Amino acid sequence: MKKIIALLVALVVSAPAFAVNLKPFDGPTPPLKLQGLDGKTHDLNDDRGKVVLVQFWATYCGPCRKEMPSMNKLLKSFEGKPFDILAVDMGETKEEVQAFVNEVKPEFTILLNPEGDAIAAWNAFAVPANFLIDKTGKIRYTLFGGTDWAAPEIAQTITELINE
Amino acid sequence: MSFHPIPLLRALLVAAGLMAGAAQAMEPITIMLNDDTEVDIRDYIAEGDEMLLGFACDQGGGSNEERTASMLAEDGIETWMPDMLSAYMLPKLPSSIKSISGDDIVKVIENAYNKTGKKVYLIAGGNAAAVALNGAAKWKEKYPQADSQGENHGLGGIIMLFPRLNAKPPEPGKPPVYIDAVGKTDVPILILEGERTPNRWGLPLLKKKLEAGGSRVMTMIIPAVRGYFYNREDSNLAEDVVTAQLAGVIKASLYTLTHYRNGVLIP
Repeated sequence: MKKIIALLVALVVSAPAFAVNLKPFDGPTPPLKLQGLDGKTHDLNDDRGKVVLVQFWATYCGPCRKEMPSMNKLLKSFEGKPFDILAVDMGETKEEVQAFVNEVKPEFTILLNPEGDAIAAWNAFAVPANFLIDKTGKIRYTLFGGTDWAAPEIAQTITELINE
Repeated sequence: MSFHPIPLLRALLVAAGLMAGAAQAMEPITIMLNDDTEVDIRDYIAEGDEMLLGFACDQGGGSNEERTASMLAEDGIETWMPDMLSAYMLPKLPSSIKSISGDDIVKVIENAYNKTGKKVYLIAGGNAAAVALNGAAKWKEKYPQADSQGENHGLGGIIMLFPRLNAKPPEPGKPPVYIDAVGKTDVPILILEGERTPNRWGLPLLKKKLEAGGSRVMTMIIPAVRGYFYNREDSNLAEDVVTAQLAGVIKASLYTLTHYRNGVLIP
C-alpha cells in the first residue's frame, strides 16, 4: 500500500506545471489576414500545406509572457518542417507590442489587430486563445490558457497533423 | 537624490482618496430575508432620490470599495453594501458568489426601496455582476408589469464593472455561453469594461444578448486599465488614477443611466 501511495505522490509531483489540454474542434475557420509587427501583411491562406499554431495574446496577459519561451522551443524543434506560429496581439498599439517583443523576444511572427475584427471573428474572447490549424487550413484543436508548448504531447499532435 | 514623479503621484492619489473617503459616516443595519436569515448591510447614508445597492467581487472587503461608497455618499448618493455571503454562512471566496439566490436579491432591493423610498440601482463588478443580474431577472419575474425604467417598483437599472457573466469557461472558436439571467431583465444597463482585457472584444455580443430582454444597454471602455483594477496588488498608474476617481466614474455612469434616452441626454 505504501508503495502505491509513494507512486501516486511521485506521479503528482512529476506532473508538468501546465496541463496540456488540446481540445478537438469542429467548426468554421475564419480568414486571418493581418499586418505584422514587421510591416508585412500575413495571410493564413498562404500557409496551406503547413500546420500553424495561431495564438491570440496580449502584453498584459501573464500566462502569455510565461509561455512564450516554450513557444520559441516548439518552433525550433520543428525547424525545417512545415510548421509555423502566428501570434495575434489583441488590439494594442504597435509601440506597446514592440516594447514587449524587445523584452520577451518571441521568435515567431507577431500580427497586429488594432480594430479587433479578427478577435471577434475567431471568438477569441479569452487570453491566450490558441488554435492549431491543419495543412488544409482548418482549425483542428483549440486550447484556452497558458501551457508548456514544449510538452511532448503537443509535439506529437503537431507531428500527427504534419503526417496527415 | 533622484526624483520619481510617478510614485509621488500615486501616493498623492491614494492620500486624496483617503481624505475624501474619511468624511462620510457609515451606519450598519440589518434586514431579514426570512425567519432564519439576516443580512448585515453597510449603509453609506446620503440625501438624494437614487441609491446604489453594491455587490462587490469580494463582498466589499476591499478598502477601495468602502472609500468609494463613502465618497459617493458625500456626493449625495446613498450606497448599501450587503454582506450576502455571511448571511449564507459562506466563505468570502469568488466561488461562493454563485450561491447567492436571485430571489434573495429581490428581497434586498425591496427592503432598500421600502426603507429609503429611493430608486435602486444595482452595482457589481466581475463575477458579482451575475448576482446583480440574477436579482434583476428575478425582479422581472416578480414584477412583470414594471416599465422598462423600473419607475413603478423601485429598481432603476444596473451598473456592471467588467462583468464576468460566462456560464462556463470560454472555449476558443466558440461564442461565449452566458448565465441564464442574461436577457431576462429589461432595466437599463451600463457596462464599464477595462481596455486591457480580452472581454472588451466580447462586449458587442454581450450587449446584444442583454438587449434581447428589452434592456437599454450602454457600454464604455475605461482606457489603460485591466479587469478588477481597483483590487489589484500590481496596479499601474492608470489603474490607481481610475481607482482614486472611481466615485466620480460611478456617479457619471449613474447620471448617464438615468438621463440618457434614445441617444440624447435628458436634463
